[in-house]
Amino acid sequence: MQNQNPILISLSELKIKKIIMEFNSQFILDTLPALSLLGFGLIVMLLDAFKNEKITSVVTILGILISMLLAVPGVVIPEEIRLTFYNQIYTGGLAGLIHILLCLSGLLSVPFITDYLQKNNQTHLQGEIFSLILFSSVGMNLLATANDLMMTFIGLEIMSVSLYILAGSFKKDLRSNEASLKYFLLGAFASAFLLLGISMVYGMTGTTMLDRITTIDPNLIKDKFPVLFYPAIALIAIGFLFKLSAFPFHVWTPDVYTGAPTPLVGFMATGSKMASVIAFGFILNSLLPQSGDKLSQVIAILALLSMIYGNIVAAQQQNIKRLLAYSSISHTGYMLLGVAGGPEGYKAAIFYMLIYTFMTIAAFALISSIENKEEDLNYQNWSGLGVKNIAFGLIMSILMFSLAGFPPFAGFIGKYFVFLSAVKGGFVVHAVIGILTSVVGAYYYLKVLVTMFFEKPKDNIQPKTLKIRKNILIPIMVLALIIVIIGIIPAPISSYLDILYGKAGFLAKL
Amino acid sequence: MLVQEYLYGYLAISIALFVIGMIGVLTRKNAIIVFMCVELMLNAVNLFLVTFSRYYNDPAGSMFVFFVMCVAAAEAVVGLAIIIALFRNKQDIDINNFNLFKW
Amino acid sequence: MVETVLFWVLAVLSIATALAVITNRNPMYSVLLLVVNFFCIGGLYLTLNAEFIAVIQIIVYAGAIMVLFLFVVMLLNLGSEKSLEPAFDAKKGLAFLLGLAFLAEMLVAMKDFSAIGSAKETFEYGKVEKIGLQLMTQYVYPFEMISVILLVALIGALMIAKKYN
Repeated sequence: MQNQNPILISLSELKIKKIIMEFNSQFILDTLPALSLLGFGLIVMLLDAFKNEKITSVVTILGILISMLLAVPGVVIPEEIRLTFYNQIYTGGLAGLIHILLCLSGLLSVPFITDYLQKNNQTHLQGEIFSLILFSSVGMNLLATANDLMMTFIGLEIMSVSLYILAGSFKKDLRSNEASLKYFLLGAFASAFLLLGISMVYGMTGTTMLDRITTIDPNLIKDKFPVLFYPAIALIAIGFLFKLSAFPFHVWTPDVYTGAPTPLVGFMATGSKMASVIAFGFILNSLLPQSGDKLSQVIAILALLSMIYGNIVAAQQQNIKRLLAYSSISHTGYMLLGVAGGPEGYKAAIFYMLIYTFMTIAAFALISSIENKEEDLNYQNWSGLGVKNIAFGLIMSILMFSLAGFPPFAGFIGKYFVFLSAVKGGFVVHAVIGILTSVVGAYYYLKVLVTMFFEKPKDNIQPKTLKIRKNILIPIMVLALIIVIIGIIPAPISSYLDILYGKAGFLAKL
Repeated sequence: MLVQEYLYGYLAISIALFVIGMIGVLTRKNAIIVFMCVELMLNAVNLFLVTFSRYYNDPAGSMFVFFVMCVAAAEAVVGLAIIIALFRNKQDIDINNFNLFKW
Repeated sequence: MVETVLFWVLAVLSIATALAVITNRNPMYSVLLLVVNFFCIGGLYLTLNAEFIAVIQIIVYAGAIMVLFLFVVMLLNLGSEKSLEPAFDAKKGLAFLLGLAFLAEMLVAMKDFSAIGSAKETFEYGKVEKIGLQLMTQYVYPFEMISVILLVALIGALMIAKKYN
């Protein structure tokens, strides 16, 4: 007995056998959607290594579709959301739907990225870019469905590190390099603040599990740590507001969106924002004592400032990518107003995000189709383009009207739900100011259309390529059609969201 | 026990290191040094986490530190790669000289 | 007693080296000072009985990450920042004030932690077997997922820093 290995003794003391028995094969099944994305990421990487670059885009689309299908059973038969993998993450029900929504932004941008790379003779990057998109989608999934704040941080970092690389993927292009470095330095700086906030929450509660923190009752924590409580959560909020590019933390957005390869911006702007909104709303509502708390009031004010700032500055932009970047700051404002507005608003924010995904990916794809040199991005040079190329003009009109929030397009429905929930949540003044800012927003979206349709064409400065390339025309048209359809009949999607939302037990506290 | 007596001391050190890193990020101009200051901030948070991990005798904090170190290593690799790519095109990594976009 | 002395020495040294990192104009010295700083933090981990974390702090941070920084600084052959640049201007002053305000705020807020009661007597949390066991059970999912970020970093570094043809 005396010669026995001391490590073995202590291991037996800890009853390792029992813990191993607890590992359930159900865990693997529950996390299969995320794991399959990971697997396909590896496959794409290997295909690239063996010089099968052409099929990587097909395999990526296939992989994302399979991963979405794996999440479907839990969504179609609306089931309760539940914890899995030693309570690390949520699965089933709403979590499945969130996974599907997050995968959408990757799925939709793949055809446009393929086309853009072909146009710029960068097809050798296909393998890397598509595997990074898949890995980044895994990160988004972890971020949005995490229960452990540790998991949130890891998911956030997987997502962001992939995005830093994607922003700088055109390494010969100085704009791409600078965008990447700027995104990286500021992103790492912001995640340090997020980490400090998380560690303070750990210090206060002794755990990083959100479900356990909720059972401790945030009110108790607040009473015990009167000075520290709000700064700690505010630090977490800073990290997320940065990723969402909300008003005081927006400095990186215009430059990164302008510098990064155009269709990749569509992916960066939608998926990462959706994941951050979902995680932020969930964490905020788990940590705050009640909805309508002091901190959610502050967030509602930041939302307002984002709307005002984004819309006013966007109106002065000439470069269409920069214009869309500032407009994305204002769209962040609308989503944040939802997050601040309690459970109803959180649901509205998810719905808004879904619509925003369709609009933004389509808009950046459309821009990339006529982009050959930097001057092509200045929309003043687009005079008469709408008449010359009817398809381009028509789709651009749908997107601009939808982004501006005109009925009967999807953007209107999204804004309607957000403002409705804000009014219900007691943010009446905020909702009124928000509606006013969206009128300002309509001005610059319409200015683009006026230039395109009603100004005389100036041949010498017009973009050379006027035709939308065939392989992306159909995907863009499908996106435009979806925007119109959601705008006309939103009821099925929103009522379905209601059902799943009702089944989401973890939101009952809100 | 040291941690009982000096809990505030440990926390004050880590906050001080965090703030020094923060001031470094805001004032320095060389991209590599700015990034080093971010690493310093991450280290400060790690010290914070280990202090509480010891205090509660809870391995979760140590686990977190382990993950943060992995993330920091990955970030270091990517960040330095980006800096090298920029240097190849521009021969300069002073963040005030980013002329294409205003900082 | 030894521990107390160690704590104070490491505390002063880590703050001093950190200050030196951000004030030194030569990137090379900054990197080396940061290595010293990481050693000090590793020492502080030892005073907290976190042996495993202390070891990987030295191996990963001081040994691997900082060597990478050192290589890059030498590769790029960077001189000191322009000495003509004013040592102190309005922007730096503002950053400094902002930092001090944040520090003061946090130091006041930290007083709240006196409410968490007394520390646990036992400290087996930092033992390698305890951490290993936790990594393979409770934290197996994050542990597996951390490999994704390393893979992403690998792909990214190859993709961005590879010489173009």
